[in-house]
Amino acid sequence: MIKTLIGWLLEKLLILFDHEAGREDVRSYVCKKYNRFQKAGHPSRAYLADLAELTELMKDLGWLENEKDITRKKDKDTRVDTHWLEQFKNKKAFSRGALLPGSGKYLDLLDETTHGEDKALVADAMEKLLRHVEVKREKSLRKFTEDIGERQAWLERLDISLLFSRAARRHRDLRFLNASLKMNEWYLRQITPPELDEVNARLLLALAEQEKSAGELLA
Amino acid sequence: MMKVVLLAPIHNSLYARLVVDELLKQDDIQVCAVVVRSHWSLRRFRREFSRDGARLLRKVYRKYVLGDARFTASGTENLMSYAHQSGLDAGSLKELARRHAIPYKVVSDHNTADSEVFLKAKAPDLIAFTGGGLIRRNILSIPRIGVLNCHTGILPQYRGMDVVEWTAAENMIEDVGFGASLHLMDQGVDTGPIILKRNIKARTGEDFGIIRERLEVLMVQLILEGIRGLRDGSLSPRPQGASQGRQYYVMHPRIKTYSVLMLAHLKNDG
Repeated sequence: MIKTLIGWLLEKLLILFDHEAGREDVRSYVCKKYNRFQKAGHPSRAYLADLAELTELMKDLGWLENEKDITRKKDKDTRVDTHWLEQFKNKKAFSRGALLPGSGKYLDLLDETTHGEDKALVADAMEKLLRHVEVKREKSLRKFTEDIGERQAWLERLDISLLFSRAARRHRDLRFLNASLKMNEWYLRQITPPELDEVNARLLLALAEQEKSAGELLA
Repeated sequence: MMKVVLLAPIHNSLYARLVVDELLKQDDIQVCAVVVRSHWSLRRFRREFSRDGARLLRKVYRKYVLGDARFTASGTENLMSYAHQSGLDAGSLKELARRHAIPYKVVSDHNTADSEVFLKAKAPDLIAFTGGGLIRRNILSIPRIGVLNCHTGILPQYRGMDVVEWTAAENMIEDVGFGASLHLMDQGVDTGPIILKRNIKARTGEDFGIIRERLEVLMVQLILEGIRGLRDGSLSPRPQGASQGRQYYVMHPRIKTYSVLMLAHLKNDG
């Protein structure tokens, strides 16, 4: 009887403390924050591209109630920084727990476009990153190969979340979606105001990409 | 005579008790020690909570509060029914060890210097690991043959955590299936040489809880069969290819929900 009561209490506690954001929670959050960006107008150049991409994603997801948008999506920059590429080919994109800045963005580009030998290097780097994020959890992605400041550090982490969400779709690999779902939940708790800035714009983009992948892979 | 030491996660682990009890019935196998990890410290609880979150509380409840009583509501293919059939009547590893004059040791962690010194003195041929955290190089190198572990997934394909659920989520119930793999531990995660593996047939209407209970019974069977085979020389370890499998991690609840749906879609196995 007492054991049954403990079990009942435990399940009630778990409902309180173990709530994860479902699809509708994420949609509601992203739409609310997106509308704030819209109302503020005059988006900063620092997050214009992210907002444009977010707008397209939200249209795809059926989250935009009207077609009015403040931004036009620009063509994606497909150039990979040569210094980063050199480090990457020497297996230094992610080494000894330190992330080379730009790795999220460039690994995403390479994962989409590259073939042959480089493809294996990309896969290896992504597997290492996945393992790091899953093992270190909220303490993951704290070290970078150079001092980049807190704002850029958040952008780099969110780029890894974006990489994982997109890789999940590209490779039909749920493990990457698994990681991006966790990462975005951690970051939702950790990223603080001011809200109308590039970090929060990137977070909204990461959440939308996560939902695009979840929609395709968990249907 | 093959000398075996058993490592256990807690003193009343039914899986560990069954393995010891069954090993004691075997010819030419000596259980030369039982080593149990001690109850949780606050530090260990915080570390495991940060890894597992709320699911740790469920694990604590099932193992420490319910203990053997957690089986009463489920079907017949579980460790409790196995224990009844095999005649196990010891409620703890300590009691089992005392009855058979087996040295019994409690350690804070299986990898400590204290544990290492004790194990080296026993000079086992094999260590049978039934749970209690990661095993590090200092312990892995002690037994002549190695440290045996039974993993609740088919290797090499499904390494790591929550592999029962991952098998369903990836729609691989038919192709790879649910099962268990007995292997020697190395420094990787479920990457060591395989001794034996076996599937169980998935049945319509079963949930992951029931499947895991059936797998626990299979784990006892595999570990016994594996130790006998290594004793006799009829089984030998086969290395896994590094690229043959993938590592899986704790499953996010949204993907878990999806895996439950995938399991529910399982067609009748006839």
